[in-house]
Amino acid sequence: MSSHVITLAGYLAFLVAGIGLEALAHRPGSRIPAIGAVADRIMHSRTGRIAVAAWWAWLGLHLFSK
Amino acid sequence: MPVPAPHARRTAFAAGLRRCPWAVVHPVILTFAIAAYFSYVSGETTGAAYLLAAGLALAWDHAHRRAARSSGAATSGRPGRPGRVPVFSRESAERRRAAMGRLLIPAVLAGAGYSAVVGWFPRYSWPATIAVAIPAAAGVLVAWRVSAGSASKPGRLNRAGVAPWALVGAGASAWELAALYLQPDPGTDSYAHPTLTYLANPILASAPGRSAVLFGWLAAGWYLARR
Repeated sequence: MSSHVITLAGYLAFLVAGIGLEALAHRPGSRIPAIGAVADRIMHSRTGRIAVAAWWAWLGLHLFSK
Repeated sequence: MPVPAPHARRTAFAAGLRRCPWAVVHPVILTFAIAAYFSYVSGETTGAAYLLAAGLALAWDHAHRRAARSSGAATSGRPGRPGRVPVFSRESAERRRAAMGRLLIPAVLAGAGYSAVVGWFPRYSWPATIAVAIPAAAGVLVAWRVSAGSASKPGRLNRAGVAPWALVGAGASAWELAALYLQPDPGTDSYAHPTLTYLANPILASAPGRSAVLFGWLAAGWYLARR
């Protein structure tokens, strides 16, 4: 197996893990919060909210800007 | 939230300045510093400068607010809560969501028009840089403004429940960084060790692809602003 495939498999594994956690979070009585609840908790603090907004802004700049 | 008297604000400013170096020792701010370093070694000077500036601004804000809280606690005679970060109220969040709900259709139309036009600009060109920097800066300024003057406590999440999310987030970040470091050099893409940006390149090579990604980026910003 090439390193390209291994790297892609790693990304895919994390994506599947995220989807799995979200599915588990929606089961009745689950102790795992949904991703929206985690985002709400992070963005409830001033530092967290500004940090998330700054990461979002950086992503756009990273993909398109000089 | 009452506006502090001018001398109290000056005291808080001076105290914030003194505490600023210590405020850098904060997980979020350290993350920005590390990300700035990786951006710099990847040859992305603008991104590195932006991340560093964002981290320093957060450090300053964190120090300033802690100093203001401490001086407020000292004058009121009540003990301060230096570890507690103020948050905005549930009512203000609901008002913001209602306002954004009313603006949804115009915002979708504006976002679609923006994405369609800016998608035609070549990547890494000045028109693309300026066109993306404007909403990016606006998003950060809105976040800064919206979270000012808050009062309620955040709801608590189960730590054991949050841990798997933290593990997935940290693991994915480490995987991406490993791919970046296994490239011939951080500024040169590698087929053998692709980063997420490298994997996005085929989509971002065409104008419709760039438009779709820009629209998704704006939609993500809208989603975050509603939280």
